[in-house]
Amino acid sequence: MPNFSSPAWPIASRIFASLVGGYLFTWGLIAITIAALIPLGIEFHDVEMGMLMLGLLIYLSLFLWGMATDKLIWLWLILFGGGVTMTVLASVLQQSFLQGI
Amino acid sequence: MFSSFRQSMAWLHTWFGLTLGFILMVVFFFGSLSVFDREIDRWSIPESRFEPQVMPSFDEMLLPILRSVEPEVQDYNTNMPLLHDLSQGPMTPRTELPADEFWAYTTHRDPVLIMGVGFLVPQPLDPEGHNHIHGNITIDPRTGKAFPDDQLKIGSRFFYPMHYSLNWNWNRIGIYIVGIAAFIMMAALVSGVIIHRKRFREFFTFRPNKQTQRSVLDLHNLTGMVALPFHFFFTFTGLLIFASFYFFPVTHTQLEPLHDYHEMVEASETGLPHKRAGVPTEIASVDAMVAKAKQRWAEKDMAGEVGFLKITHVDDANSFVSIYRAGSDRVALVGEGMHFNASTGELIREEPPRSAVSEINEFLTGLHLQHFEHWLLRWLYVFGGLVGAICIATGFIFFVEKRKRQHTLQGSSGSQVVDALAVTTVTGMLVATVSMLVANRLLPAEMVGKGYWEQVVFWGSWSVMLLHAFWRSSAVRHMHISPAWREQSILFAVLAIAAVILNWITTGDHLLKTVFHYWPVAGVDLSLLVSSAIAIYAAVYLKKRENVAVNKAIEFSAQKLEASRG
Repeated sequence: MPNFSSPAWPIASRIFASLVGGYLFTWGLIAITIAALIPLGIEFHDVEMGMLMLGLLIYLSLFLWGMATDKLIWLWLILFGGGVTMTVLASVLQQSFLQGI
Repeated sequence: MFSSFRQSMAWLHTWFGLTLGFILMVVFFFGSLSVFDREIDRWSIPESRFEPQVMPSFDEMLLPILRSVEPEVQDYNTNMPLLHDLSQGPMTPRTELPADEFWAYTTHRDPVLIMGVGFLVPQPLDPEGHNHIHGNITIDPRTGKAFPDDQLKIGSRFFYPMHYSLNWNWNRIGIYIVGIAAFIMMAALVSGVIIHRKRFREFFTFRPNKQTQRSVLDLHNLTGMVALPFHFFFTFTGLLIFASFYFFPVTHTQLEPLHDYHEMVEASETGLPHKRAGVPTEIASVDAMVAKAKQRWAEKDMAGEVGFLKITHVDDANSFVSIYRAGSDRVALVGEGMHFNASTGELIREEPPRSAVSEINEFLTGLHLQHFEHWLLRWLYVFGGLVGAICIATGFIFFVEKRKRQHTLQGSSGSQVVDALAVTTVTGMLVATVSMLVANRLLPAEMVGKGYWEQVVFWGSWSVMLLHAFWRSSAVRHMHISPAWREQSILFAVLAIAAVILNWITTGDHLLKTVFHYWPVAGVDLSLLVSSAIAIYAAVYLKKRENVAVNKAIEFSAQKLEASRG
């Protein structure tokens, strides 16, 4: 059983949430933007490249925010919750678009 | 947990910087060397020391050579069993694989021409996949003669991949490690600015004569700040270059169906066939297509030479030839690709003007990959990279200087370990690099597997430097400067001079000759000599500082003794 009251625990949780959660959130954001903009007729590689450039900066901001925030619960909820939701939605959008062609 | 935003940023800066800084040191140093990778290739392969050449006649020289290339044994043995569908019959023997793709690539700094063939796997497991077994060759474009294929291009094939993958290719783990380190570099730059934002003046202060901890921090801030845009842009663009394939491969995994759909639409729009037709045809004159492409570029007021030439679906009715400009006159990676039907020679497609997003992207990645011809800018890149390396190295030293007293009193060996690792990644890495160059000149040119042994020398000497650094590191516990810094500096200085002399003895190319006739080699030799001089200066300076430190250490031991008595 890990010792949750040890001072190492919150810092490990914070690093994990910031790095992995931040990555997941960014992934979801890139995926959902691409999946949402392609059906609108925007050029595929423009959306992809634009989102990768933005995504790197967003990931950086999320990571820094995660390392600094007091609200660890919110950090977990927003990054993992938001990340998973957007990722799943992106797949749903993609499927409905490809089926509709 | 942290009492302020600034404190959380300081924590992040210190600990992430420390753990990934050692990787970043390798990335910055070898990145700096990569700016002159082709020149280092010339130094290490003396037979290739001649002037850069333009792409020779495809019809007369390149095509017959490409026809004679065979799939690489290792690539075949590793990948054929993975790509081939056994249920359709046994694997096609290696030498009977049909060619599917031809390519040739050169730059304004390449005397040699690299070419390759992608061979088709006739019965693939996944017909949609990229089913290629490769065969590559490097030739002398003046004669068409091939260079031995086990010769290692130390600059472009060892130092350059070291920069982005640590030459650790197992599951591309090296690329991912460098990616995480680069991401942390961006975070360290932002947090570094935040830590010191209140005292802006600190960024531009350097007090070399204060105590080590103070002057090292000054230098850390100064080198971080002066080249901040350089550091940030290079880290960012470096991540961007690999983002779509490795770091955020969204469209190659989750959204692959959408990507494939787009490819199909694109193929119908561009008229460039996505697949082979299965009808064999002959290749028309590629030289005529090259002439047409050059004429179109000239009309667009961007006359230039061919940098990259590729034939897709070789010998098939759907085959097409793509010709790209060598982008040596601008920052953006602009190929201005022209695509021709391979059997009729007719122009199928000329790439349209780029969108704003794509222009930004090509500018950013071009800024990093520097295919342009501008020697002053190249040198600025080298200095920018080295300034980054100084920033990282001074970070380590500041860490040690700030904590070594406290660590010793607590009986912790933290500072000692960090110092030893810093020695390994600063002077140790230099020794390994120059040892490889010395090995390159000492091992006979006709030796089988010479390139392999050069790499053994590189990793071997680096490991020895690691052991040496740890062996000598106990000095840190006694408040001394580890003598490993000085000793490895001297070793580097001696080896660097030896490399220059060995180059002279084994090839006859001494500086007086190369300075007037062959700058690629003169540049490497001069850089080695200058680095050697700096290392000697550093060793002398360290010796002086070590003596000062000894007096301080005596004081410290007396205090400690008193404290233990009291």
